Amino acid sequence: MALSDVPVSLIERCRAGEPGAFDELFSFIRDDLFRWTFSLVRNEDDALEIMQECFLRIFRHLHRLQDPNKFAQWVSRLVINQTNTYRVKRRKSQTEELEEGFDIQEGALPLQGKGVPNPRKAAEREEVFRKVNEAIAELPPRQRLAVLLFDVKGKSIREIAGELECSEGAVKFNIFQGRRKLRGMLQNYMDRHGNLDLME
Amino acid sequence: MTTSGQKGHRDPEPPAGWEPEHDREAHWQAITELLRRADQPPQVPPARFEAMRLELERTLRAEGLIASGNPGRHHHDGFRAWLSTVFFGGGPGGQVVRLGVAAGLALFLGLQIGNIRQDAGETAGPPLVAEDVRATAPDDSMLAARTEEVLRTPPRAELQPQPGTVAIPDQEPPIMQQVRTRTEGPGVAIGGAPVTARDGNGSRTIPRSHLAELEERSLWQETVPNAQAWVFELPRPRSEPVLGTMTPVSQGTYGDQRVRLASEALDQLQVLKFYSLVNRDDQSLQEVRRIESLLTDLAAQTEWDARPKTSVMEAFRKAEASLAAQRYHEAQQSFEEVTFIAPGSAHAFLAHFQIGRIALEHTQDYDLALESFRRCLEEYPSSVMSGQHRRYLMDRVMVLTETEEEGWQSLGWWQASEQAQDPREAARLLQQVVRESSSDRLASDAATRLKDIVLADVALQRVNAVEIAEAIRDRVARTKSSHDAARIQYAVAEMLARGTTDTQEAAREYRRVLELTPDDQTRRLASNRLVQLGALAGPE
Repeated sequence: MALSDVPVSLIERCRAGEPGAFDELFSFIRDDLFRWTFSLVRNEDDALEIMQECFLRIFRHLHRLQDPNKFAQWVSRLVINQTNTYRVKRRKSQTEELEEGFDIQEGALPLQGKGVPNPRKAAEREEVFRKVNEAIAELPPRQRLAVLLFDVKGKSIREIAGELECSEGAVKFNIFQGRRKLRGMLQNYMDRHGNLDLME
Repeated sequence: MTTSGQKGHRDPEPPAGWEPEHDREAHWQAITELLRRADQPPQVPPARFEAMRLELERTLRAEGLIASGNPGRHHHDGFRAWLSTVFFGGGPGGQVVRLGVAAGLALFLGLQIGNIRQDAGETAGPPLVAEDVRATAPDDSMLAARTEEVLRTPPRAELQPQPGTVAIPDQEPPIMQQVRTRTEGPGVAIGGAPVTARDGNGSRTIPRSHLAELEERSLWQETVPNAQAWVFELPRPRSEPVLGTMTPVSQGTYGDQRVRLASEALDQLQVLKFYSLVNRDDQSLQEVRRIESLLTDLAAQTEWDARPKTSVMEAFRKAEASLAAQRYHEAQQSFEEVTFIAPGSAHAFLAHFQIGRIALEHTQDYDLALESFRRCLEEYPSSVMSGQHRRYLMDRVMVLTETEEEGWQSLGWWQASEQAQDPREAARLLQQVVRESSSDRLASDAATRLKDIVLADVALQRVNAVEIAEAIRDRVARTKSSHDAARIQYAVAEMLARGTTDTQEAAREYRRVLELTPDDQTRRLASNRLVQLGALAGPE
C-alpha cells in the first residue's frame, strides 16, 4: 500500500499510542517505504538500514506532524533527509571493500539448459544497473532527487517543489542539470554496449 | 544555487521555455527507461521485515513510545516482570544480583558470538578465496602459489603506477589496428607484440598496475613485429565472470596477464572457448572466435609456421558449423576427427568436451557423454583447465556414474524440467529428481534449481513454497554427502523463510544448514542469512 493511502485515523491512533496501531502502520507503509528508500540508495542493505532509522523517527516525531493529511509528504522528506545524512556518514567511514566474487558453483548445474540464466547476461544486466546507479549517486542531492521524483516516480513539478521545499523553477533547473549530467555519464556507456539490448 | 561543485564554474541555464515533459534531447527516452528499470527493488524476505519490526518494537517500547500491550506478538509479561525485579529491584542485594547476571550474560553472549564465528568460518575477504582454491585443487601447487601471490597483492586502491617502466606510443601502429580487438567491456585483448620496457631489457612482463592504464588509453604498442602474439585478460571487477579466466583466482579484481607465442595463444583460445561453453556464454564464445580468426591472420604474417595447425582448425571449424546447424552426429564425427589429427592438444581436449556435451544435452547418449568427459579428465593435464572447471567435469562424470544404475531416469526428469514452459511443471519434475535420484549431487543441484524457480515465481512462491520445501525435506536425511545434504537443507530453508514471518523458525532452518558441514559457499550463504536474522532470533 502507498504512503499516501495511510488513513488519518491510523495516524491519530499511533499518536495516541494505541496498542496495535504501531504494527498496523508498519505493515501499511513498509513496502512503499522500502521502494522509495531503495530508489534513493540502490542498495538493499543500505535501504533497510535507512528505513529502520526512518521508522524510528516517524514514531518518535509523529506528534510533531501538524496536519495528518500531509503524512506522505512528511515521511518523504524524512526519508530524503535521512538518506542524505546516511550518505555523509557513509562517505566518511567508507573503505575500499573487496567485491564478492562470482562463484561458478552458483551457475554450474550439471545440466544447464535453456532455462538456466546465462551468467554473463545476468552480470551484464547487473553491470548496466550498477552503472546507472553509480551515475545517479554522482549527482548532487537536489538534482538526483528532482530527476528521480520526476522521471522515475512520475511526480509533478508542483509536488516535487512541495517535497523539496523550493520553487517550481528551481525544480526544473535541477531536472535539467541532472538530466544533462546523467546523459553525459551514460550516453557513452550505452553506445558502447548497445544499451537496451542488454536489458532483454 | 546554480553553481556546481567546482569553484568558479557555473552550470548552464536551461534554454528559455524548456519544460522537462518536452525534452527532445537524443537518448533521454532510453536513459529514462534505464533509470526506471534500474529502479527495481529486490524482494525482501518477510522474515527480514519482521526482524526489523521486532527491533523497532523493542526500541520504541524501551523509550516508552509504545504502550506495553502493543502489539503483543510476544507477550511474556511474567518473564518481563521477573526480569524487571532482577534488574530494577531495590537494595544492595539487588545490585549484586544485577552485576552477577550482567557478567553471566556477557560471558554467554561472548561464547555464542565465538561459536557463530567459528561456524561461519572467516567468510569475508581473501582467506575464503584461498580456502576455496585449496579445497578445489589441494594438489595443484602452481595454483596454490598463484593464489598466494594474488592474496599478497594489495587491493586496487593501493596499487600505484610505476611511471617510466612502460613506453606507450602516441599512435597505434597500423598493423595493430588491424589485429587488435577489444571485447565490449572487460574480456580478452589481443596484441601483436610485447610491450617494451623503457629500460631496454625487453621484458615482456607488463606490471599489473599498468593494465588499467593501457586499457584507459586504449593503446597497444608493437615494437617487435612478426614475432609474438599475446593474449591477456583485462582487469575487471570480480563480479564479472568468465571470459579469459585462466585460474579461479584470476577472476579477481586484477585480471590475469600472460604473454604467449601465437601458437600458444591459439591453444589458449581453445581453453577460453571451453570456459565460455561451460558458462553457456554465447557472446564470449563469439568474441573468442573472432579473436581466433584475427590471430590466425596474424600468424600468417609472422615467422611462425601455421601449417601444422591448419588441418586441425579446418576440422574444428567444420565441426562447429555442423553443431551450429544442429547436425549433431555430423558434428560429433568432425570433433572426433580433431582428436585423431592432434591427440593431446588443446583442440582435442575441447573436441572431447564437445562430443560429451552434445551427447549429454542433445542426443541423450549418456554412455558416450560419460566416456568423453572421462577422457577429458584422464588424458589432459590439469594445466588445461582450472580447478573449478575440472570440478565441473568431475561433477558430470559423477552424476552420470551415479545415475547409471537407475538407467539415467532422473537425468531425463531434469532435462524435461529444463524444457518445461510452465514453472509448476518444472517444479514438479525437479521435486521428483530431488526425491528419487540416486545421485546426491544431482538431487542437491535439483533442489537449488527448484528453489530458484519457486522463489522467482510469485504465484508458486505464495501458494507452494512451504509445501514444496516440506516435500523435499526428507531427502536431507537420506543424502550421504554432507555438502549435498547442506545444499538441499539450504534450499528448504530459503523456501520456508520466504513463506514465514517467524524469524526464529527461519533461523532454525539456517542453523540446520551449518550443522550439516556445508561447503564454503553454502556456509557463507547460510551464515549471512543468520547474521540478518540471528541478532533477533532470541537466545535459542
